[in-house]
Amino acid sequence: MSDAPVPQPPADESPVAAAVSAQGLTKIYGEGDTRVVALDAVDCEIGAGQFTAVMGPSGSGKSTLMHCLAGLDSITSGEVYIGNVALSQLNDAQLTRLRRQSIGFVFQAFNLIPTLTARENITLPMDIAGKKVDQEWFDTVVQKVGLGDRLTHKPTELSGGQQQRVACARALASRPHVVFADEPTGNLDSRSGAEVLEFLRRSVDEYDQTVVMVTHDPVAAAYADRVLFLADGLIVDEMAEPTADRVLQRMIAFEVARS
Amino acid sequence: MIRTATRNLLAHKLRLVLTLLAITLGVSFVVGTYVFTDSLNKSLAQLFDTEPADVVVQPVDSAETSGGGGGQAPALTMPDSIIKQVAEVNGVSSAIGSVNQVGAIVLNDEDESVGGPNSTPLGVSWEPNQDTSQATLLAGSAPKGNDQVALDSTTADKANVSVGDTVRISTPLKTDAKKEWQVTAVVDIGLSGGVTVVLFDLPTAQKYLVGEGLINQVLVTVSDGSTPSDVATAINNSLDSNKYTAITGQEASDQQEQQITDSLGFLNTFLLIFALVAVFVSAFLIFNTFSMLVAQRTREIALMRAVGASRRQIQSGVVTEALLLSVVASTLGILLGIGLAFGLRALFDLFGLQLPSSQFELAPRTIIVAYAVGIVVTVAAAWIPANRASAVPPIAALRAESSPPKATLTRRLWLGVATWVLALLFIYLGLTNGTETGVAWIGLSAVFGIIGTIALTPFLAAPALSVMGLPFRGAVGRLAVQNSKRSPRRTAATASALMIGVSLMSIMVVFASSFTATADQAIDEAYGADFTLGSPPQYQPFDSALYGQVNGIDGVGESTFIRATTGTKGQSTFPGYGIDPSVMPSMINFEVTEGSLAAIGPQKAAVDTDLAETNGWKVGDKANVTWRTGQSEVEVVALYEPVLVFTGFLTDFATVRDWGAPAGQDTAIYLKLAEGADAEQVRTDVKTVLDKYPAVGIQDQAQIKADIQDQINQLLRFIFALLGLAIIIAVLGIVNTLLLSVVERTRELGLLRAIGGLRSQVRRMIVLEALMLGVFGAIIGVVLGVIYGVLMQRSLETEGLTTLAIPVITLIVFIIAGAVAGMLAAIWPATTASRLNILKAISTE
Repeated sequence: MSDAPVPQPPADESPVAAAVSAQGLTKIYGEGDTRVVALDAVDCEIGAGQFTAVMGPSGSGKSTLMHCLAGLDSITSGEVYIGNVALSQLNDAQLTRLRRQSIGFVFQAFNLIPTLTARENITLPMDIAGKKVDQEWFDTVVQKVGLGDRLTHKPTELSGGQQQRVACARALASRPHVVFADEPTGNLDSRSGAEVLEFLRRSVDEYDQTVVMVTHDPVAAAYADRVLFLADGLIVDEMAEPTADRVLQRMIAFEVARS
Repeated sequence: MIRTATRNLLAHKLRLVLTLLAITLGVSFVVGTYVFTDSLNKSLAQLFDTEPADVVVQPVDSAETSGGGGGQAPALTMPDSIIKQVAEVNGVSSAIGSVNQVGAIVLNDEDESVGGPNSTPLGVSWEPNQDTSQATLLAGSAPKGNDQVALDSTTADKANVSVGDTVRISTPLKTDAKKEWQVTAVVDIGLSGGVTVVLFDLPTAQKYLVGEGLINQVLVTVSDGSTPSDVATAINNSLDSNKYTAITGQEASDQQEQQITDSLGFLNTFLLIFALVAVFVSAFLIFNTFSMLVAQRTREIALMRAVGASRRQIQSGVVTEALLLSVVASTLGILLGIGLAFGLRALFDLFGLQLPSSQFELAPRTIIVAYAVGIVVTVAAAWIPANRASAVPPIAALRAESSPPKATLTRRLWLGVATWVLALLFIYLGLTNGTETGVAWIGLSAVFGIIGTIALTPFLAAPALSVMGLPFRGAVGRLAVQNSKRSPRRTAATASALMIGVSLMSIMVVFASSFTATADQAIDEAYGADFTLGSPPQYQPFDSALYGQVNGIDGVGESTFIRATTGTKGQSTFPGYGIDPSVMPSMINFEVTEGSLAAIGPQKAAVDTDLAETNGWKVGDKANVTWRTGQSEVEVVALYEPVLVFTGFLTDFATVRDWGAPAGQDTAIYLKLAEGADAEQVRTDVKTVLDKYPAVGIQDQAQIKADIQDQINQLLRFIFALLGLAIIIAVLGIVNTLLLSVVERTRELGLLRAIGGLRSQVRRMIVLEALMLGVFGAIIGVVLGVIYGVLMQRSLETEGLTTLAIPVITLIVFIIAGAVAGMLAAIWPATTASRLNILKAISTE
């Protein structure tokens, strides 16, 4: 399968500081009476090699923001850049190729194809792109997530935590420009959740991976370098070097302000 | 419960349409078959409703071979002096002669019969009395004399003529052929298909059809106060009962109807077998679809159970749903079936098997069977999986990741093995028993073999798919293989539907090729003549003057002709041929096992070995045989192996005449080329002579072979057209399975797209799955078909089907067709899958 030329995002060492950025990003659902503004002219920049958490109450637009940034959802107006590639310029096939080459995904649940083994799931994005797997990097990632002896298992034979770790390994295996994680610990107990978060943290520290994580859990947000707070489709605040307590207080403050 | 059921139905329009379609198609085929055959029978009944006369007098046909509307043997004749004798009998009001003979061919511009090569060209005498005549005058006036004819309306349509126009007609006797005749009348004779009818006045009919002074029947009207049966008895008493017989008109029309119904009886059986196949395959599709639907709803069912619904309520809910659906679908099926009946009629016309079709009959039985099939199958198909689903404890089902309870396959394995053991037993019986019961055993075994294979396909599916998946490298191919293997039961059921159709087609082609190969071989071995002249396919006799004309042609070496009649002994009917024993053996290589052909003579004949064995005749025995003209004692002087068309008795010309062969008419002429003669020149010269005999053709070896091949192919195409419906239903089954599996896998497909799967890749994955399903079904079908095709041939080996031929290329085409069918079936599901909205798909529950 021959890939059409895809706009390449700049490599990690490029002078552009932002790995992902949005300018005037607006997303409107429905029309007339049912019109809902999910994102209201959002501007933001996700720093390369940073772990960014996006927080906000239900309905704040945090998932929509992530979907738009990751090229999974169309935008109403504004622009999203992955590296220097403007997403609104791409058609479906180009967008798909961009996703498989430059973006890694970890979803809240149902991350894996049930008919494939853990190993096959991890290499799937490269397999469907027809690319060779970087064996050394694959081994490193597998070792980091601690799945060495589980590679031949099918998803149903893995625990929820193990499944999410396989998903993390898949997200990283193709050395993407950026990894998007949508509530990756939402379905996990706290210990399994911690393992997943530690892995994401280490991928940023040790391999300069850019990670964007949507969460509503202050403890999870505390693993990040920076937290963006969303409310009613707007970025209302941000916090560097967060701790769980400070994030929690911030969230409570929002709730008070809103009520 | 009804409300929940209707809501459930409407909530999933796609499923609704597919299931509806499955039931509708199945029911429609049953209805189509019934309506078609009922209408045919009713048309026939109406045809023979009118009695030809109060009493009919005709020559005694001891062998009972006289064809009513178009039998093979020409009707026997008697002198027309009989008319006068009959007229003098008490109670007879009027007696007129009637002629009814095959061989009056209405010609088109190419000098071929306007009815097509397979039609029977009837020539009959015009009956002046319109009250008793079977022909109703539509336009014009009665034909008179040597230049006028009437045509039946269908024939007139085919010849594209009306009253006042002229037509060219070739007749059996006066072959100053292609004589122009003026059409003075168009009549309705009720025989619309398969025959052409020309009517002459009586003297002309005698002159051109049977010979001057001869007639086939005397039609009698009884005087007031006499009953037909009394008059018939009186006539019988006054005539030589060995030669002539009088029957009432009622008896005559009953006899004719019986003959036609007998000859079409196979058709009803044949069509019903196809209807059964179609019902079986649709039952499969319906069953499969419902299993999937109910399995999908396991969680929903569990939730209902958890909030307090009883098992009984769940079951009755599903059954109500199935009932609603099946009633609607069966009704649609009945409507579609009526359309299909007309389609079948057109199909028969297309293949030259024209049938009377004046009537339309939708019997109450048809409607009852249609609803019974549609409703019973659907409800059973719904109840079984619903029962399975509701048996699961509610909490377990709710917890399960939408995985339906997996019933163990062990029982199925045993069922499959047991069925196959029976199938093998029947094969053993089939191969060790005699031919007649042997074939029946093999047929029974085929039914069990197919059912057993259906039971075993889930076990074949995984290994077969692994092998088939080998060429598909890359992630997409691997995913497709894995997906197909996911539910062996479903894959098996879907492929099985296709398998049934393909296996039947494969049996047919193996059988047909073996038949053709056997015939070819027989021709190679036994056929010594260079040319055969005759009028296939029915070999109606022609004027023997032809022989003298071709015999004199330059370049013709040895030549001879044959004449034929029919005889019976007990249950068996066989031909009797008159041959010239000094020349004939060089034309046909008779393998004489005992005695000598040269010994045949007056009431001395050679008999084929099969017939001799059946009746215990040996050389020197006297065989007591009933010929058309009566019984005779025939001395058996030789035994020969049946060869090509030659079976039965071979004797000299005088004797065969005695046995009822028409005087002065030959059945075939055989020619050999003189040394050094130019075959093409001879052929051209013979053809020039044949210009005056349009019914007679010239064929060499290759053409005879091609002719046999053509006839077999025509039959095959016809069978394929019927089996095509089963294949269509099977393809629909693949569509159904794939669509449902796409719906089930929505999240997975969304994920695949999110992490970088292109639309085209998703599409390709689904197409590959369908392709494997199609090929899998086709391969099992072909394998099964070849096995039973070979067994059929083996069991018929003693019956003369000596050569086995397996048409490898055709079978490979079947497998490729399976792949194509699969890919066609994938179009809709693949498009649906590739157009899924990623975000919605991922967040689907």
